[in-house]
Amino acid sequence: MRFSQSYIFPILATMVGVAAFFSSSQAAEITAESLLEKYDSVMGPESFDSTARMTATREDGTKRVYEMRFVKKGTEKFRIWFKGPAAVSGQEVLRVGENSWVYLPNLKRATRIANRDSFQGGDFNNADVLRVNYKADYNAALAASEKPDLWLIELKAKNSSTSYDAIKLWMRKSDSMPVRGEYYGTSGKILRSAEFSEYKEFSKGYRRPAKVLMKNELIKERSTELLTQSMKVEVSFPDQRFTLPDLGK
Amino acid sequence: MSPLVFMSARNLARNRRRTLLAMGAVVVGLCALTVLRGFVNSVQQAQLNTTLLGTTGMLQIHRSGYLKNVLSNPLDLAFEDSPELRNKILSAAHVRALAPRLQFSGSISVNEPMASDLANVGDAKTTFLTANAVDPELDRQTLPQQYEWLIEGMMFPRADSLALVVHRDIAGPLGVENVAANLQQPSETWPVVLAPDRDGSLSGEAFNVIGLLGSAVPTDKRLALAPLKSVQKLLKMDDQITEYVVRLDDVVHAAEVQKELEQRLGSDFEVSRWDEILPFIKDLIGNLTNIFDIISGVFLLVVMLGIINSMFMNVLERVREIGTMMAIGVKQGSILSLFVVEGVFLGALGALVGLLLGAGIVQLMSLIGIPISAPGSSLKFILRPFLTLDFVVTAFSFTTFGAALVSVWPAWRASRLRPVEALSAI
Repeated sequence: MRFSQSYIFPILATMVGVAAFFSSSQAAEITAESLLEKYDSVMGPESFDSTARMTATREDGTKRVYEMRFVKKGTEKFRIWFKGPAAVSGQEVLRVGENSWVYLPNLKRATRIANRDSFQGGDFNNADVLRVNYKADYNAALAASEKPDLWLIELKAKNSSTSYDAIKLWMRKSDSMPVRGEYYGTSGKILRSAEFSEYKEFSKGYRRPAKVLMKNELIKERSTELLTQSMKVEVSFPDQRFTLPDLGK
Repeated sequence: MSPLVFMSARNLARNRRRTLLAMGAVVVGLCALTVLRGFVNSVQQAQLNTTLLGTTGMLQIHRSGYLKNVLSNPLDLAFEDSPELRNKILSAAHVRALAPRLQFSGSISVNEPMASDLANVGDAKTTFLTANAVDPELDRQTLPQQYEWLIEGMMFPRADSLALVVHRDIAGPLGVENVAANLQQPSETWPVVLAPDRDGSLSGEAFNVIGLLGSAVPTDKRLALAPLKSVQKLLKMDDQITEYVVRLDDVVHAAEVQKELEQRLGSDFEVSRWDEILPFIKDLIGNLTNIFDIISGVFLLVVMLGIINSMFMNVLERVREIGTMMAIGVKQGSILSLFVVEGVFLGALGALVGLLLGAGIVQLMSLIGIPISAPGSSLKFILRPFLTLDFVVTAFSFTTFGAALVSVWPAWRASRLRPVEALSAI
C-alpha cells in the first residue's frame, strides 16, 4: 500500500484533468436546457407587442385569414386582439397564469377556453399561441441528429396538463434558431409538425423565424401558417391591461 | 277415424289423475313460456321505441358521406333546409312527420367571474357538449318519446329561443340543475356555449338551461337539445341543417320508403334506416329473440319428455286391454293411431289451457305495468308485456305436433304387442 501511494497523486491529477476537460468541453458545448431556453426566448420573449396573420387551410382547400395583435408581459400574462375577419373581429383572448379566456363582443363576456382546444379552428392549439414556455412544461434531452448542422432535442411533458406529450425540436447549430418541430400525443402518435422559416431581425438584436407552418399530421390536407408581421420586444404594458374587466375596452 | 278420436278421449278421461298430471306439465310449461314471451316482447318493444321514437327516428336523411365522416366535422356536410326539400320527403307514402336537426359540438361554461373577480376562477366550470339543434314543434312530432324523458323544467318554446335542455347528469356537475331558479336569472349569468362555426372560427352565445332530460336507457350524457334557429345564427349557418329525421306510420315500411326517398332526393343525399345507423340495437333485439328461442326449446323438450313418460305408463297399464282389442280384430295401425291421438289430445289441450292462462297473466301484467330501470339510466321504464298471434299459433302447433311425434314411440310399442302374451299379462 505504501508503495502505491506514490501513484495516487498523478492518478488523481489525471482524473481531475480528464473530468475538468469534459466538464469544460460540456460547458462550451450546448446542453438541452440551454437550447430550450434559447427556443423560449426566441419564440416567446419575456415581453413583446406584435402583429401577426394566421392563415388556416382546411381539408377542402378553403383558407381563412385572421389578423391579430399579441401582447405578452412576463411568463404569466398574454393578450390577443382579433382584427379580422368580420366573424371574429372584436374577439379578445386573455391568459393569466394557467387560465385563458376568450372575450366575445356579442355577449360582452369572457368565457374560459382550454389549452388543448384548437386556436380559431386552425392547427395550432391555444397553448401553442398563448403559452410558449417549454422550459417550465417539458424536460429536455439532446438526441442524435441525423443532420450534421442541426441539434435535435427531445422534450417530455413534466405533467399531464401540457398540450403535447412529447416534442422533438430541430435547431440550427449556427445560431440556435428553430427549424422544425414534431409534436406527439400520449400514444406516441405524431399529431402536428411545424416548419420554421423566414428568419428576420424584428428588433435590434432580436431575431426569430417570421413564419411557422403548422401541419396537421392526422388530417394531412390541413395546415395553418402563422406569419409574424411586426414585433417589438421589451415593451412595457400596465398590469391592468391583463385583467378580465379590461377586455373589450 | 271418428271412433278412434272418441275412444282416445274416453281413455284419457278414464285415468283422470295421470291425464291431469301429464297435462299439468304441458300447461305449466306453456304458461311460463307465454309469460316470458310477453315480457321479452315488451323489453324489445321498449328498446325499439326508444330508438325509433326517442333518439334516432325511423329514417334519417343526410348529405352523402355524412355518416362516414361524422367524426371529423359534421358541419362541412350541412345542407339547406328548404320547403321544397321538406315537401319532397313529406309527400312520400307512409311518411308521417319530419324534423330538421343540426348536430354540433362545443363547450358549455358556467359561473365565469363577472368582473375583476380573478380570485373566484375556481368556480367556473366547463364541459364538452354535443347538441342537436331542433325545431321544438317538429321534433316533438317526430320523436315524441324524447319528451317523456324531460324530467324537469320545459322544452324551449321556439326555434329562436336562447335556451337549452341538457342531460341531468351534466347539469348537476355544472350547477345548473335548478331549472326553476335558472328562469329568474338575468342573461348576463347564463351559461355560454362556445363552438367553432362552419369555418372553424370561435363563436359563442349565452343560453339559459330551462329543462333537464333524464333517460330510460344509457345514452350519451353530453347530448343536449338546442333551438335550431339560435344555433344556426351562432354557427353562421342560416337555414343549414345536418339531417332530417323521418317518422313513418309504421316502421315496417322503412326499407320501402328509404328506396322511394333515395330516388326522389338523388345522389346528393343518403337515406339511412335506423338499423343501419344503430346496427347494434337491431343485434341486441335479435339476440334477445335467439336467447328466447333456446329457452323455449328447452321448455318444450321437458314438456315432451313428460308426455312420453305418461304415454308409456298409459301403454303399460293397458296391456291386457290392447291384447283384447287385438283379439277381437282391431288392426295394429288403429292401435298406433289410438295412442298417437291420445298424445295429441294431451298436447293440444295442455297447450290451449297453458296459453290461455299465460295470456291472462300477460294481460294482467300489462294492465299493472312492470317498472324497471336499465343500468346507468335515471328514469324508470314501465314495461307492458304483450303477445303476438304469431307466437300463440306457433306455440300451439309446436306443442300439438310435438306431442303427436313423441307419442309415436309408445304407440308403436303398443301396436307391436303379441295378442296372446298381452292377454296373459297381469
